[in-house]
Amino acid sequence: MSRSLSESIALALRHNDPNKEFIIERVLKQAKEKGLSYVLCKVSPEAKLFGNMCRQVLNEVHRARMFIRLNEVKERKVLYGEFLLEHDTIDMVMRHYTGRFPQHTIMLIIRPYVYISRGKEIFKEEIGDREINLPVVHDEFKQYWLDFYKNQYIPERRNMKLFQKNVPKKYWKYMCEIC
Amino acid sequence: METEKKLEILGAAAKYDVCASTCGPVINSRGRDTIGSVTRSGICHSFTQDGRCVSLLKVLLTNTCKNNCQYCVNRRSNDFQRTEFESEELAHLFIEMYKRNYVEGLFLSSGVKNSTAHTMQKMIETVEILRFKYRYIGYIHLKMLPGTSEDLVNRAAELSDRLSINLECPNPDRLQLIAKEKDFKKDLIKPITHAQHALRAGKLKSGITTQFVVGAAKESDSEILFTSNWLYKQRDLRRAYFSAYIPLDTETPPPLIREHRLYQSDFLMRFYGFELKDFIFEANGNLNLKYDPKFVYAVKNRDKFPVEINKAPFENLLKVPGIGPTAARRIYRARKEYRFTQNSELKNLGVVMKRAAPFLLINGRKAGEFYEQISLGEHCAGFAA
Repeated sequence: MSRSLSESIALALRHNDPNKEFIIERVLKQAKEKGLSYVLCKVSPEAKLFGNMCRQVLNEVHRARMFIRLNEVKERKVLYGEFLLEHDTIDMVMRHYTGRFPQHTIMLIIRPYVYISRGKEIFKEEIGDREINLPVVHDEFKQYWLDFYKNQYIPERRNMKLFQKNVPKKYWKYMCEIC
Repeated sequence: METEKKLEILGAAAKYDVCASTCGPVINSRGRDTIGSVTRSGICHSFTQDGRCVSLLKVLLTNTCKNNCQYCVNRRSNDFQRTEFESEELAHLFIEMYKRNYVEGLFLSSGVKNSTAHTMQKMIETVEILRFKYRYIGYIHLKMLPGTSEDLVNRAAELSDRLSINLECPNPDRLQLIAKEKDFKKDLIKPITHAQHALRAGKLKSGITTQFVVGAAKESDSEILFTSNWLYKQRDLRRAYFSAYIPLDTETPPPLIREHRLYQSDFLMRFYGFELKDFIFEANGNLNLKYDPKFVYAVKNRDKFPVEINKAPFENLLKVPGIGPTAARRIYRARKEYRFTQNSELKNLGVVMKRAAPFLLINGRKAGEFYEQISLGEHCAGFAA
């Protein structure tokens, strides 16, 4: 509700649904006929669909913030990771990491591309399925993380349903503690 | 001892401490010579098989403790391996894990080694290394130890985003049953009061929290809710957490659903305008385990329902089961330009109609009927569809 219609449209346009323009057009028509709140409050099925598109885009950005694991490249101030993005959200994801680690170059492999931040700019190059072999720092911290993660589990509270709901299977292979 | 082994022991020892992922004002390092950021919505970096979020590097500085609290795995009489982090060691470990995007912030607690002041000093020293040596500006949640003095609370507040202290029990009598060495007012409430002063002075960005162990001292839900309500109103508490007691011996643990009902009641107090008097407790002072507290309220206050969706005040919408603050805001906003006529419209905007329908009128028409016989036990007369 706090988003304006124009902000919502900008988000929906990032969605990968091939019918997004059609849905946006329907929603704009409804906004004209029944008022802005009718659409922004998701009263109609089309408005709900429109709202869900915005939510899915933001969820993807949020999950990229959560589940990307970064590696440090040896003797370089480079942090790199690999992830899956289905919508056009790479700039939002990169903005998060460059704001967090401004002293580092951020390199994200979102196949078939690799995205590299340099200052405020983002460069993109097609890599397809090619493996990128970087001189990654093989350190003990990954093992520390795996041990820490293992020890946070409370067996008396086991709830696999909740676990699977929180971590969709499509992201498992990017998370060293789960894959 | 190796850092890996220390982390294994001190990480496992802190897993029963409950905390939210980050919260507080948005901040990032762009254009600065710093590292770190805080986002508006908390980031969980992973989830364990119990469904709980792993967001912060939750560790103890040491698991050596001079106290012998019955509910605590680190109690003095418990015979197991003791260890502690050096401040620099922990700060370095954290910053490396942060850079790899494993964790979103630091949650630092500790057993009481030697004295409260000594251990608190070492915890503060760790945070100082992070803030000044590593120039980390992200999220830090620091636990205050029982009996922390005002000057140490002030210093901790200047350096961290959130402070907390575990009350564990709702009142002095209950605390005496499981932690004889602690004085409820002097050791637990007083540091909260100091933290409240720091909060009001603008030193603390993300407020003060506390945690109750549910079922350890045979306390009732009404006692816990009474104390948390008092803390919200009198000590500016941001949030209370509830953790079902996991017995260290052969005792029967309290049902996990009890913890869930307490969280539901807590949310009702914080976001739905519920007062303590609105809750209906069983004869033993606990909440109904079968039905959630909002539903029980609605069933016990039949005279206030059904509410007309197109006219009811915002506060009344919030009292309807199946309508949360977001849905209530949407209804309130949408009806200024539009009149609801169908159940499906409410469903679209986020109302859980299966729960809400019996309590709603849409344009004077009943939105639904009860689909089961409701019986809330001795406190409630059952009624049917």
